[in-house]
Amino acid sequence: MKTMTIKAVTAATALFGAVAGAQAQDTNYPQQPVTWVIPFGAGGGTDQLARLLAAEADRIFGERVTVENHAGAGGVAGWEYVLDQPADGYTIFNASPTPIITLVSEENPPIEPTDISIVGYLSSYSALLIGGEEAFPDWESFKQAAEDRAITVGGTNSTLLGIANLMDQAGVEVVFVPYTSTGEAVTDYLGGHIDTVATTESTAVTIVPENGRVIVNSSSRPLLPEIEEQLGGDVVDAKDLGFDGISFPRWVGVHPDTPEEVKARVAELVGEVAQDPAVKEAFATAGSPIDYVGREEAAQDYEGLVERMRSAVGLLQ
Amino acid sequence: MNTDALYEALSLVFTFKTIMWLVIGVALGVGLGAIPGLTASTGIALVLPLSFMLDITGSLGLLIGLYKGAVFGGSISAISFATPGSPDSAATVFDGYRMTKEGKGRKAILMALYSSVTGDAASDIVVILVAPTIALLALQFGPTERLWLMVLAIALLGALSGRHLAKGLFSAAIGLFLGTIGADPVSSVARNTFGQDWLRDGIHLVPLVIGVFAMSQMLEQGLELLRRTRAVREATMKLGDLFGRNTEGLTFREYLSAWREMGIGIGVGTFVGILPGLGATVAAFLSFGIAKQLFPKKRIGEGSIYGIAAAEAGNNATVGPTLVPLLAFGIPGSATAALIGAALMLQGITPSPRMFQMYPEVIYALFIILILGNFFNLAIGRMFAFFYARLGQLPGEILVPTIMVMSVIGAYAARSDPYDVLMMLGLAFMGFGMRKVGMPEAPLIITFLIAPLLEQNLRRALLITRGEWSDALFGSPVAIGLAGAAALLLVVTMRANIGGRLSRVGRQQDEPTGG
Repeated sequence: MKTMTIKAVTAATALFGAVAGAQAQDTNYPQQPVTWVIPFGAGGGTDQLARLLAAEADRIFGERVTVENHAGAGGVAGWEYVLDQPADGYTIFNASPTPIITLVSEENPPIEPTDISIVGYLSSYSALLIGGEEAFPDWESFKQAAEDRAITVGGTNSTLLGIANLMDQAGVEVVFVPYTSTGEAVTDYLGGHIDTVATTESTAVTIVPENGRVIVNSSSRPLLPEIEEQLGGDVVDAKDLGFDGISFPRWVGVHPDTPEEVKARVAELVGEVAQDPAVKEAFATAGSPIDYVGREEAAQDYEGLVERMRSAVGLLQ
Repeated sequence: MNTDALYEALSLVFTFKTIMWLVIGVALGVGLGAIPGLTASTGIALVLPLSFMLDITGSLGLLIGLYKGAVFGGSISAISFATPGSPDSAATVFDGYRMTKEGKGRKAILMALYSSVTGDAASDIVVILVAPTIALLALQFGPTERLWLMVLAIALLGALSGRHLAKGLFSAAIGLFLGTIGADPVSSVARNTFGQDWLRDGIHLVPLVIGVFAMSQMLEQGLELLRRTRAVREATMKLGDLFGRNTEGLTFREYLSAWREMGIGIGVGTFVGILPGLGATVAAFLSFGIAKQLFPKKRIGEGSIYGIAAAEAGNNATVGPTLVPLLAFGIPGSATAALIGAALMLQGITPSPRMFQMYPEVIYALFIILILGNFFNLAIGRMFAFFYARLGQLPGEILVPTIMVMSVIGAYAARSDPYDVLMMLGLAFMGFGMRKVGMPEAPLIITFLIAPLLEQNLRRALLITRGEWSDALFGSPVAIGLAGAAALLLVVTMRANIGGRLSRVGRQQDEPTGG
């Protein structure tokens, strides 16, 4: 019995020592270069922002932060790459909603959209529905028009998802016309080939007011004041209409098995980078202002986001 | 014209710093473009953080210079090693590499350079003079009209199929199948992926082009090298002669004689550049196909400078026009235009129709840089072509494995996806087999490029017209006109084929038989 107690105490001491050692090591994070993984090729929106961010992140992390592109499989290849790396916080994943859309569109996805620990949102974008000023002066007139005839809504998959989620709750039927790029969708809208177009805020400011107005913001998140002002002010959003809208985050996560202390430290550092004045200025001028959401709030939102996207994808297919 | 803004733009552009960044941009572009897998958009993405630190004209000089240089740079390796530096130059391989094997590599590279610069400069002038007008014209092209434009491109397949239409059609069918692999363009559901997740994004153009053109040629040459045949030694010797004193250059008369092909390239490239989603590769193949169809006596595709002139003027003529939707509507029509738009935004200038009123000096500066970039492209392109082509002096034993390694790196570099390397190798064996049975590669590439675009536009047109086929296909006068042109092209091709066969049969009957 005594022997067992001694053994137990020794084991407990050893375990405590190991945990304490690990904690000390964890609080020293980072001690080696960090890889910032983007699941898309060089040149895309997420990639551009990541490179702007990485330029300042070295200073804040105190270690080199290198952007790596792991493209393929609709953004899932990069995600799988992160899951294959050690769960030590040295591989950080930064993505848009694209890989989530890929996973919720698949019958048998290779991984689940929840196979990640969210450490924060850097910024978010909303899907705004834009139409002609005369044809659709407001949301009510749009609803009426949709009852009278089939209204076409063009956009990329993510922006259409946001609109589909809203239309479903509003009981409005429209025809969704998917495009591979925003450029094509907007050109077809400007040419009068489709009635309306779903775009992000940064594209919307190039269309409004000359070539249309914002009929509705399909997210529940109000627009940043300066963007709302550029869009003519008083933009109606999903929340105003009593619906549960979707906004699309540029999210940051780490391997789900990463030790809690490391996750917390990564979240803290990512938060510092996101709040850094130089990064904020770079993101703002790149048309995607930082709208940082901390770890807990982001992780909570993420769960709901996945579910809302899953049901909206069904509406588009 | 706002003369104050023009003077300000001139004073902004003609500074040491701006010119320096323009020169660096063009030099980097030609260098990157010549490396397989590294395209203009990859290069621009990599220097984007640097451009943030420059002033607006320095930034535009670097990015536009890089863009122009990269589109030309792709042709250097296409001609020297049958390895297109970027997919834009794939159509240049047909004539360019054949000319290299005939010992006329220098002539081919110079033709590529001069036609690139001519096409680029002419389309820039068109952009400056009539940008808003052509942008409005492009707006008339909705899904229905774009669909017929694709049909017109596929109708040109007859011209690209060579002597054996059936082999050309089989090659096109392979391209069609490969083009359907990946996410469905409307519902995003994976299709033809054989349960392989990595195929979800479809087959990327870069590994396809490198595999079918470069690696397959190297497999063929490598095998011959193993057999130590004289043919390879001769080909290598000729590559080595590329810039030797005794090799044939390009005379001014020869350059001028390609005016029709360059004209086709300029017209096609300018228009294709304005339409979003098509790009320089489509422009190059279309120009090449039209020139081949219109001038059968020039033996385009068999080692002719005229094929190079059409393809290279075609791809470079898209550079300026790609910026038209960005300048006219604030909408980037291509990935590269989006990056240039991002650079403008990083300088605090949001691309929009208001740019012309709010920042006229920036618009003028951009126009001046577009024109100026061509002169630097000409000068730097010549030097670079000379330097790069010296690699061709390496003996075959070094050259073939070097290009093989370059092909592997190129396939990986485009997206950092190891599966792209495997795909490239698989496609290389397929390309090798196709070459052995005399099946042309061009129909494969063009259907691979065009078929997905055709499908997307057809399905969008059907969604917009709620499934009404007649409206989806013939909903506008432009669509009817394009459909008529495609039908006419098919009839002309078929008649030419039948006529050609009859005359061949006639000649055989007229020839005296021996014995």
